[in-house]
Amino acid sequence: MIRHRFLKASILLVISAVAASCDKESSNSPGFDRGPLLENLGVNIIVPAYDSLARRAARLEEAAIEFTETRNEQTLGKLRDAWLSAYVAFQHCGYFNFGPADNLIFNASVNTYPISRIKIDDNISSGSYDLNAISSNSAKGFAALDYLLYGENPDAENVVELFDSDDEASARRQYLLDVVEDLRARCDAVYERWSPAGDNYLGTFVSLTGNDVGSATGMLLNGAIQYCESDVRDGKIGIPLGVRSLNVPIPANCEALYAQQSILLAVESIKGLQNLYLGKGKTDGVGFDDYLTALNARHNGDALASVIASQIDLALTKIAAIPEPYSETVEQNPDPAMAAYQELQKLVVLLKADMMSALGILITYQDNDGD
Amino acid sequence: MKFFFPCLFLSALIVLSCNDDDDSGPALQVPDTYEFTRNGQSSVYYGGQTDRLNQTSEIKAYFQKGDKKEIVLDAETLLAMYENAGGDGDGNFSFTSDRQLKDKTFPADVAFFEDLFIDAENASVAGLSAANGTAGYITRKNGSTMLVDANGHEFTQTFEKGIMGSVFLHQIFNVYMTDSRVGDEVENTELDGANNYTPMEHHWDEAFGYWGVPVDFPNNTQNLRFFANYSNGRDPLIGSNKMLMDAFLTGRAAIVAKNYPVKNEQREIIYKGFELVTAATAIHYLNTAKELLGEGESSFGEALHALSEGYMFIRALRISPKKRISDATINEILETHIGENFWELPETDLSGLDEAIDLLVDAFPELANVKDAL
Repeated sequence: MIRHRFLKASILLVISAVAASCDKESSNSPGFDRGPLLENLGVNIIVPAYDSLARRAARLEEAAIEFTETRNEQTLGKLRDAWLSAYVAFQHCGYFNFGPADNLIFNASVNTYPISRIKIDDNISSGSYDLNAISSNSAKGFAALDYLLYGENPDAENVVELFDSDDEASARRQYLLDVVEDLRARCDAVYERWSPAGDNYLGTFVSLTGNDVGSATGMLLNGAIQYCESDVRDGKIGIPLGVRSLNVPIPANCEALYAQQSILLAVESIKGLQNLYLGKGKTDGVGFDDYLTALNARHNGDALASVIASQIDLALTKIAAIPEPYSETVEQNPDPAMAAYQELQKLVVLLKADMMSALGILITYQDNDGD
Repeated sequence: MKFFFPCLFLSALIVLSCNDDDDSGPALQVPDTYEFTRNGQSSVYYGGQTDRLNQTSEIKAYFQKGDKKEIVLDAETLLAMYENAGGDGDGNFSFTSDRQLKDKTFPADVAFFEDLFIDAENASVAGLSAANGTAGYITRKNGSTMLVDANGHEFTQTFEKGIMGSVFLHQIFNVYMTDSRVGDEVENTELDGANNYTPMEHHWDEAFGYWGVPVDFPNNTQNLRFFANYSNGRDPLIGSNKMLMDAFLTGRAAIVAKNYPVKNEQREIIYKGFELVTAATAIHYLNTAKELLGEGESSFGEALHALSEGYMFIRALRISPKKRISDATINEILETHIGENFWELPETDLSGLDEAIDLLVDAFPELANVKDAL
């Protein structure tokens, strides 16, 4: 039963959440107009990211329908590709964890992992499930598809058989279709909320130009930094590595565990952060780097804007250097992963303490670990 | 039955707060019972911990129905209770609560419990007789049946002792007794919202709540739960009741008096005390298992029960960030000296269990004099 190696040292990483102390006369940062920043972030980054996700989710649904109708290794391959493509698109959206995504509990309802094999297996065999229930989050979404499309024996022939001739093949096909439909509908819904053709939250977003907690920058940065801390640094890298469990690694907690694409997704996720920070969508527009430059924010004598940009680059390089499959790396070769984790940790401190302080924005979230 | 000889064993750990008051803080008002007040109202609350002890009891009772063949165990039901679906374990708990066991589990062990639920369901559905390599039922000394896995590990004990280590000890050791919860910098002046306690007081109380003793322990030893029961079981030989109760009482009083050096001393006693109770209890079960294995086949079911308990207490030793035994030694005991497969413990040569006990005693030398009596 003891499967893990237990490393001796336990590292307690203490994050000093230095919240900005509402100093400066910062209600209207002199020399910087947040209007164009919000316009660029909304029009050039957020809405296109959700649009891309919704389109890829629609293709995923088409591929799932095709696979359930014509079950062979070729249609399975297309379905797996469509799944990964949509999963990559999601990595760029996770940071927008406020407004519509917050109201729809979007992130948790499409990407909760690890999944519960008990729930998924039981849902398939009983045919009785409610994917809208919060308790179903660990039985659906991208991670459930990882389990369904790869699973413990990812050999394509085996997976096709499970959907084609296994005793529960028909129920499994139905479950696949239901999970994919749920995912596609949720991706549509969050896009609709943002889209100017839909509920136009974009219009609301660009109008909230203050820097108080209810402003667009306040909400976006709180959502994004919390996501970076909990979901990227911890979820994708740290928790499987064991940083929350006395250095006992938890390979089962890797994202895309069965498909063994954890690192690819983590890299995409940092690229998403990079785009958001630099204001880069299809074009390179106004970003937080420009905002920090306008404020002349410094960090140990250097421009904070470039310190953060370099740190993002460094984190990206270190994550990309982690060998896949991550679930084996955490047990057999943890050093590259620990190196990446440490760079992510520095990045979180720069964003959460230095950047937020320079921008005069309060961190409003806290670790929720009550009794 | 074992005989417990009166023993004058004095644990080196008992460092009571009465000597050594070299700090300048105000004198401590240490009460006799775990009752503290502010403005005439209790300032102690650990309802969340009590809920989790109750959830553990009810899940254990569910496993026991499976042991007695009254029900067929269902993994989804176990999972629903473990994560307290719907606030009442999906209708399986007798009470509602917004607390759950799963999100307080040592993160690396969540999969351990979920795998256990799956294995338990499979064994229960199959309904076979247990044998080497076959999960199933085996009869205990009192004639009742219990369900064990293919290696002879009893599901009920693996669950209960697993939760004691991976939730209760984990929460005490890695959450509530840490600097982030009861360190000197934690808020201890302002009350926590509308509650009648400061955050530091509350965190201390929450650790106490996981112990499972009544507030007037050890004068009152009725209704002891989980670790309280084992503290009390080992008490005649290692003095664990007073050691831990005094530490909790003194530490809490020190928090009220803002005497942090004394509070921090008590924290160390709490770490060492729980670890010692766990190690001593492991030895107790290994001794019991030796005796039962020596009785031959008729006692084998009972021996599996004792081994399952002992195995999980040893496994629980991993959880302390300040442990005195190394992970390598713990693994060596579990994998080599006891072994994953209890069926393969040779009846004629129990030297593996003796070696396991010796390694535990090496790590906890204060148990050397009592190791045979435990």
